[in-house]
Amino acid sequence: MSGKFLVSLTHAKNDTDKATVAFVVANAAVASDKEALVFLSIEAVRLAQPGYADDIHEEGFAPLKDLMANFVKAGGKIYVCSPCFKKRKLDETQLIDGAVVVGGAKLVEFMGEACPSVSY
Amino acid sequence: MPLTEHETWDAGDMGCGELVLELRLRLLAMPGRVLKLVATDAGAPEDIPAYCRMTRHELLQAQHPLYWIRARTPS
Repeated sequence: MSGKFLVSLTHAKNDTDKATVAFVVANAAVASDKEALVFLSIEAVRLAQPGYADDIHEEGFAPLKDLMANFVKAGGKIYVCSPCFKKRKLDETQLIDGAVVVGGAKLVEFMGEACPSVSY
Repeated sequence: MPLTEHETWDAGDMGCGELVLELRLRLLAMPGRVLKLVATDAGAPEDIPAYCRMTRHELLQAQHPLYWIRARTPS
């Protein structure tokens, strides 16, 4: 099995259930040999800051920081919405491993002509 | 060998869709010529190369925040 798979996430501590499940699904995608990408936008950009996800642990799931680290370790990519990041005045020099600040063109290129996606 | 640009556009901290939409208009108005773009947005190092790959404008050199782009000629 191959191909691309996009998980779009817009939540962080405002909805830790969605933030967690997004990475659970992303891990399923990367484990299935997909070229998997999580696009963090709106509030979710906060997850790209080191330490932010450390205290997010939904009942019944692994801690979010572990889900994120495992995703990157398995080859998953994390894109961080540049204007969303800038709006929140976050520090672009402080990013978790595997996270890259991008604008819309980079996301459009990844998705190409056909790319399955799921949004949280 | 240093690149010679025909025009320069300082986009400041403009980024994402705003940046590439304005960039598109400027490049389409100068086919075959070289634009020196100044873009300080943190997403530019990923976005500008991606934009050029998708649109067939030629990214000649990138040294964030400076980008030299040769505008495509009509096919």
